[in-house]
Amino acid sequence: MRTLTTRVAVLLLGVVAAAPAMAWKLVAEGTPFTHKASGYSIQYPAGWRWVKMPFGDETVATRDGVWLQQIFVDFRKHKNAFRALKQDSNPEMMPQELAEKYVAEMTAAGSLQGVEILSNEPALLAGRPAFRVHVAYRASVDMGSVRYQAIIVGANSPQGIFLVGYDAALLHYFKRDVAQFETTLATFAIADKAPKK
Amino acid sequence: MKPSLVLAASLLLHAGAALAIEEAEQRERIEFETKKFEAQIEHSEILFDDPELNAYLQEVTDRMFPEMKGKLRVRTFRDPEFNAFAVATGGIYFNTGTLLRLDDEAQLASVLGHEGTHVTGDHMYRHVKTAKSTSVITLLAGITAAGFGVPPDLVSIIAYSSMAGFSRSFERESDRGGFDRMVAVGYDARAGAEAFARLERELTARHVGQGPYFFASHPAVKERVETLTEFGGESPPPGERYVDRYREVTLRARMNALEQIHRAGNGKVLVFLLEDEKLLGTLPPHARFYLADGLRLRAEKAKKDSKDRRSPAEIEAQRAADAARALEEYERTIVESPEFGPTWQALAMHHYRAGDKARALELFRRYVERVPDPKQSGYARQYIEALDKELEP
Repeated sequence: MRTLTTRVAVLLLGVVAAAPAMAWKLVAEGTPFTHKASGYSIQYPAGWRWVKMPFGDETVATRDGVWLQQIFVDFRKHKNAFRALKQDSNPEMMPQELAEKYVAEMTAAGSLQGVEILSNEPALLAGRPAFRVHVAYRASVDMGSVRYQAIIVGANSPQGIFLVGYDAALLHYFKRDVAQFETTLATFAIADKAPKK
Repeated sequence: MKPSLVLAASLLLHAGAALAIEEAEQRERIEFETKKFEAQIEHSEILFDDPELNAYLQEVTDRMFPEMKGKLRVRTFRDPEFNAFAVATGGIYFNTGTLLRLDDEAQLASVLGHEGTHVTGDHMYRHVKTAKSTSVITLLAGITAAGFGVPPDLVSIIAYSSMAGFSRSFERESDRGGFDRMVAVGYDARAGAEAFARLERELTARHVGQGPYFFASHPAVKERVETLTEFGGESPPPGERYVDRYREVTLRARMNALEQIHRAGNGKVLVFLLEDEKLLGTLPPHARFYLADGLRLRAEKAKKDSKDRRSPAEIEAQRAADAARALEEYERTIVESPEFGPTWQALAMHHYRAGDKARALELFRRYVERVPDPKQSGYARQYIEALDKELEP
């Protein structure tokens, strides 16, 4: 679900380009982005462009445009973490439970069609126990039924959930940049100190 | 973007255009838009691919509409909600979720008869034509309201299909026409009222005033139940049901809908359909897992929503009862359908959370025996490894 929301939001950002703080920035080598509020940092691929979303604690980076491929980081506080399900998360939830809720949210939101789980495995995210789900879905008929695949890695924390994901059109883009995603994922870190909010 | 906004914009264009064109051009336009939609969905993955099911649905339709053989075509969408609609070119689209909620072929025939009559009654064109004399504002308001909950895949066709929200006279005409046709070929006259009564109960259980799909702008579901009951008279003639044939041919589609509801985490609907409406008995033994997991999901989500009139104490009591029932149902599924892997994992998780780690370890092992693919059983393997170390003597 977040993928469509993000894409629409990014499109609106492009239209409302008057707000300089929301402008896309070019990623330079060796300049990891640190999100002070939630405490995560990540080095997006050099040469890509990234933007901090005006709502929530989310950043998105893309090379060719968010409708084609994107890497994102999303931090969700536990309260109302799964909006489409009207459900909270909590610090005790295990990765497997988070994965179940995340996929349920994608399915329940209704804007992604034909969501199919290709794999759902345990993983580590910044050294923390995490889930790693690989899903396939397609855009609506109006949008040409374009097929996408996404990999989302998520971990719990006392303050909320960290999600790092890669989402791309299956044709041409997904395979091309999946290695770039793995490299980026390896740079993801979470500060030891508690986030400010 | 909200479907309602897309609909509003789409309808504004359609309504504006409708003011200025003649019948032939209007028909061409409807046909063009409909064919475009049908071509798009043929190339998408939304259609449920089951040739036997397609042939069966077609056979039931042709039996009721013999003069329309080759002109009415029935297909099935992968969608777990209750919806069916017809388009002007003769396509009738049925959700897998509708098949899940019907008991037999007679109920199926009642819905097919209703939709087929929309086509034979030329309702799609007559509706657009009527719109010429309707103020754009009124039309927009009606269709925008109807748009809430419309799946994105169907937004482009809603204005030219039976989902558009026809007038009460068209709906009654279709109710009557569908009823007469199903009874004429020997189906049980009570079937239609039964199917819609179930829908009415579901809307109540889900705290939905009127369905966000199919019947959103149809006459109220309750009124439809009354109408169909009235058509049957005080002692409706008994007719054929063909229960076994219906269950056999639609099984794959019904299980697909059930799995989709489960994947979306909708415990309330799973419990309503499988337990309250007793659909569990129409499905294979392992479907009990979905009831057990539905109870668990409903317990996890036990929160008061705005339309829920229960007290907090009543909600808590139901949560506790659901959690206990979930455990019973998992245990029963394991006995009745031991080969079905997910139950073992769900039960293992239950015991793990409850602190019975030895039992959890045993159950995780049983799960991995049944689901050896590491891509599917990775979590269980991780738990086994950790619990093995923890429980080492």
